[in-house]
Amino acid sequence: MFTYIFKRLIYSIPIILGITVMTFAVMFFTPGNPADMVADFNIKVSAESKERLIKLYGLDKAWYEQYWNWLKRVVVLDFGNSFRDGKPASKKIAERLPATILLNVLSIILMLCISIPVGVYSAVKKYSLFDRVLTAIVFTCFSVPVFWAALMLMTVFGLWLGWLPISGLTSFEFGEFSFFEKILDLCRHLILPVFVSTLGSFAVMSRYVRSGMLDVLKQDYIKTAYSKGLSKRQVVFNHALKNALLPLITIIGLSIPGLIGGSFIIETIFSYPGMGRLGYEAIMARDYPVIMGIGVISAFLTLLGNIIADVLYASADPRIRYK
Amino acid sequence: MPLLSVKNLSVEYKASFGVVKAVDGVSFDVEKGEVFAIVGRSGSGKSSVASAIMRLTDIDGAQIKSGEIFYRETDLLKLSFDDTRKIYGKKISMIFQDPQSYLNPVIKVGKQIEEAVKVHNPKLSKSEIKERAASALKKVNLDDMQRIFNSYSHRLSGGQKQRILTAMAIINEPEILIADEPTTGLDAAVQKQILDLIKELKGKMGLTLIIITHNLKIAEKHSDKTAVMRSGKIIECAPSKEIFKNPKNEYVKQLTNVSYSLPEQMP
Ligand SMILES: Nc1ncnc2c1ncn2[C@@H]1O[C@H](COP(=O)(O)OP(=O)(O)OP(=O)(O)O)[C@@H](O)[C@H]1O
Ligand SMILES: [Mg+2]
Repeated sequence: MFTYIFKRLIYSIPIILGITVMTFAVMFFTPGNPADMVADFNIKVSAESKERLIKLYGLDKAWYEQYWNWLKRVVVLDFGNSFRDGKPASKKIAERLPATILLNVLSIILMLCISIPVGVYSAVKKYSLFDRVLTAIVFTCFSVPVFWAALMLMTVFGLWLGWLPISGLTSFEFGEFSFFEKILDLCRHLILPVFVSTLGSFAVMSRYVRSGMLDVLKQDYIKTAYSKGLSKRQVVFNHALKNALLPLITIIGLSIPGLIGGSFIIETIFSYPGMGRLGYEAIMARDYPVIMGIGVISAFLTLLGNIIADVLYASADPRIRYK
Repeated sequence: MPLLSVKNLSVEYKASFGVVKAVDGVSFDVEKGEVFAIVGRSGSGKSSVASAIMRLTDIDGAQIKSGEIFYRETDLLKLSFDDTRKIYGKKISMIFQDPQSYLNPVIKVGKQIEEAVKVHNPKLSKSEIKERAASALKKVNLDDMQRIFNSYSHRLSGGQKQRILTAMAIINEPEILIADEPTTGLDAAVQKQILDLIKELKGKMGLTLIIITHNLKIAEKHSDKTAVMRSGKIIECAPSKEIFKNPKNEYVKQLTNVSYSLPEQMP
C-alpha cells in the first residue's frame, strides 16, 4: 500500500507543475502588475521608483524567465516574499491555512450528517410527501447563490436579530476570555460561514445519496436479503447503506477544489481570516508570490485529497485492490 | 388441501413503452412433498410468478394486479409486509436465477449466512448460530468452510456462490423451496451437481420443490408435475409423465419436439 501511495505522490509532481505554469501564465497576462498597484494608489511614487520596483521584483523579464526563477526557489521551498509587506509568502499562508481547513472540515462533517440521513430517508420513502418537500428544499438550496445566502443570513441573524457575529473568527476581546468562552466565541463565529458553505454541497450530496440508495435497493442481493425474511430496516441499514455510501468517498475527494474555490468567496464575505481571503486580497494586489503559493498549496491539497479518497475506497470496498 | 395454491395471478411491469403483462391469470396448486416444474421459453413469465410468491415484485417495479397466493390457509398477498417476514426464509425460500449478483459484495459471506439463521432465531447464541451455518454448508457439500466464511463473494466461483445461496435458503429447513433456474451460468458438471444436491436435500428434509427451468429434460427427469407457460399464461399443466409423452396443446407438442432434438444444456 505504501508503494502505491508513493507512486501516486510521484505521479502528482508533473500535475502540480502543470498547474503552476497555468496559474503563472494566467496571472501574468491579467492586466495590471504589482508595481502599478503600489504606484497608482500613491501619487508620491515617482516614475523612477516604479522602475526600481519593477527591476527589484524582476518583472521586466519574460514570463517564462520569471516562472523559471520562481520555480528554482520553490524547489528549495522558498515561495518568496509578499510584495505587499515583505513577509515570506509561506508564512502568510501557513498562518491562514488552519482556519480554512477548520471551516471546510466542519462543513464536510455537517454536510454528511445532514445529507446521508436525508438522502437515505427520501430514497426509502420515495415520492412521499417528505421526499417531495425535500426535493423542493434541495433544489432551492442548490440554486440560491452563495453570496446572496450569506448576505441574507448576515442581515437576519447578525444585524436584525443580533444573535451571531457577522465577521472574523474571534471577537475583539478574545485574549481575555476563559477557555470555554473562547470555544463558545469560535463556535458563534463559525456558525454562519459553515452553514453557508454547507448549503450548496448538502443539496448535491443528498441527491447523490438518494439516487445511490435507490439504485442499490434494486440490486439482486437486496432480493436475497428480503427473501431471507429481513425487515425493511435491516435491509436498508445492513445491506444497502454501505453499498450506497461507498461512492461518497470518491465524491468527497473530488469536491476539494470546489471547497477551496468556495472559500475564496465565503471567507471574503465573512472577513474570515483564512487562506481564501488571503488569496482574494493577493489577487487584487497582484501579489505574485502569495498567489503562486496558494496555487501550489491548493493543487497539493486537491491531489492529496484524491489519493486519500482512493486509498480509503480501496480499503472500504473488498472488490478493489491496489495496483 | 394443497400446500401452495396460486389463483388467477396477474403481474404487470411498467415499461417505457407501456405496460408488460408478464403474468396473466395464472393458477396452479402444489401439493406437499411434490416437485413442481414451471417451464417455458425466456420471457414467458416464470420468474415473475416466483417473484410474486416471494413478494419481491416491488423491487423490480412490478405490480401484482390480481390474484391470491395461499400458503396453507394464509393468503400471502393479503398479509402486511411485516407479517410476511416470519414466512420468508423460514417457511418459503428461494434460490435465484443467477448466482453472480445475489450475494452482497461488501459483506463477508459468513455473516450473510449467519444472518439468515439469526433473523428467525433471535435467541440462539453466537456459537449455536455458527454451528447451524457450518452444518448448512456441509449439507451443500462445501468444504474449506473457514476460508469461505471469511471471503467476500467476488472471491468465490459461480458454483460456490450457488451452493452458498442454496445453503442460506435451506438453513431454516423451509417447507417450500423455489429454485429459479438454479443452474444457469454454471458449467455442465456443476449444473448436474447442483441439481443432484437440490434433489438430495429434498429427500432429506421433506421439501416441497418448485423448479423453474427452460430445460424440458430437467423438468421431465426431476419433477412430478409440470406447468408450461407461454406469454404469461399456463397453457398446460399435468403430471410430468403424461405431458412429455403426449402433450395435448399444440405449442407444447412443438416445444417437446424441439427440445428432444437439442442438446441438454442449450437454453
Ligand atoms: N424489470 C422488468 N421491467 C420490465 N419488464 C420486465 C422486467 N422483468 C421482466 N420483464 C418482462 O416480463 C416478462 C416476463 O419476464 P420473466 O423474467 O418473468 O420471464 P422468465 O420466464 O423468467 O424468463 P427467463 O427464462 O429469461 O428467466 C418478459 O416479457 C420481460 O420482458
Ligand atoms: Mg427467469
